[in-house]
Amino acid sequence: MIREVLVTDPIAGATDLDYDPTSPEVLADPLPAYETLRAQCPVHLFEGLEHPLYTLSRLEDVHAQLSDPELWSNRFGPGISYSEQNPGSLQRYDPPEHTLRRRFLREPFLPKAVEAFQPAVSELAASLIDGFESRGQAELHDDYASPLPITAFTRLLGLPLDDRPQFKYWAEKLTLGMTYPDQATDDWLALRTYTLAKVRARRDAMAAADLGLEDDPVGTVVPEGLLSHLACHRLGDGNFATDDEVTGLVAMMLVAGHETTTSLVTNTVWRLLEDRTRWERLLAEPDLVPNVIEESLRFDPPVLGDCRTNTAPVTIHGVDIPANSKVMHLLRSANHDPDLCEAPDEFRMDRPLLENRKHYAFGWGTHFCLGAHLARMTARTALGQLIVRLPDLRLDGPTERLQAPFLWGRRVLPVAWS
Amino acid sequence: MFRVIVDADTCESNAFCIGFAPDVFELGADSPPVDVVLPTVGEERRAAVEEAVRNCPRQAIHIEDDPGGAGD
Repeated sequence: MIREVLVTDPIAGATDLDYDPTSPEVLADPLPAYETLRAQCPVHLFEGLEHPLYTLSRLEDVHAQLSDPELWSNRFGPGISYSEQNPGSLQRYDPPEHTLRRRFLREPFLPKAVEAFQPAVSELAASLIDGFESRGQAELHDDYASPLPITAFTRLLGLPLDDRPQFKYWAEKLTLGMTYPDQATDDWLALRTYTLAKVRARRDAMAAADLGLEDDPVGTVVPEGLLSHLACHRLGDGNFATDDEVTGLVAMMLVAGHETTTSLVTNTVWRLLEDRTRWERLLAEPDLVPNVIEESLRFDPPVLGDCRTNTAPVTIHGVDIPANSKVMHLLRSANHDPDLCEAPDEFRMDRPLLENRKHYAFGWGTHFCLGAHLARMTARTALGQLIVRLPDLRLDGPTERLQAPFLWGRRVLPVAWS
Repeated sequence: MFRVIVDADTCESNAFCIGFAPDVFELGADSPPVDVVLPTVGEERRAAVEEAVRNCPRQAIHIEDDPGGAGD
């Protein structure tokens, strides 16, 4: 594997920096590498892939990239590969096409709708704990953190709850496909076939009902939920979503909304239990739950970084980047940049909420996470139930990280209680 | 004086602005998600509103200097 490093920023006088995002050391703990990148090599070039991968690590550069969608396009997708998969996802559009589609989808993700959804998430969390409480131990990823967003996705879309095992399988495969597209080709196709069959059934039902112009088919002749909205309502430009768009948006919600929310829950519990004085403090001060979730987002963002491609050649810190390069913004590095907050490498449970929300866990700008409210609510609810129901919780064995190199979450988190 | 505009198609009620300038912004009843309750703002609140503009994760807030006002 050949690696080349361009260091033109004179601040550290470094001539070489050996950063490989797929190396075991970086996968296990990327923060030391990020700190070196920020200090010595703010524009890094990694050539260990099929094509060059540039990496931006400083807060100012991450922010600048995310703030300028005209220069930094999403048309080749947010992953490190120039993927043709999932053409209809919001993450593959730029404004103004992006704005139109995002506007069409936003309703169920706004605070009021999310608040109305909270009792259902709370009830689900409680029933999951009911299921394993008597065992005295659990694997928190599979038994608790993963079923929560999968069920939320299923209900939000208005799909049969019995199909959840299938969604979980697709979510995992498609998430891995963000990095290794070839490993997910069959699964994209299967999800597409499934989704389009549901869309066709809804459109057929709508046509058969012979509705007037003012009649809304959603919740009357077709089930409530976002899939019916996608199938039966017209976008702001007067057109129905195409097959690619419906499939792309469903896949996006599955990928962007599942493992990330799961990671938020596992990462938070992991940090609280690895230094159990934190857990005990939260038991004593349960009002800190929102602050702790926010600090977890900042300290351990579930997505380490995403890519943009530049529509024109650009020079950053003296490094020339040719047009259409894959250029990654490291969200977690920005979150640990001393320009963001005081002592960024310390996990502090009581950082003020408003100030601490300036982190980049949800990205920034055009593609700022549409599900941010839902993710926060789900994680706060999940953690709130745990501290009440299982106050004796402790780690019960080694944890493992997720396989995908640019995701950051515990894939295995064994816990026990007495 | 200057004017504050929230793009109704872009705003998603992340509500950072309300934290920085609660006298200017308010969570709306429906659409647009964030209401500007003080559309014409005095210079003494410029720093707070600029902070809200800078911190809006959707980049949905814009400032327009009011041609009829004192300007800056």
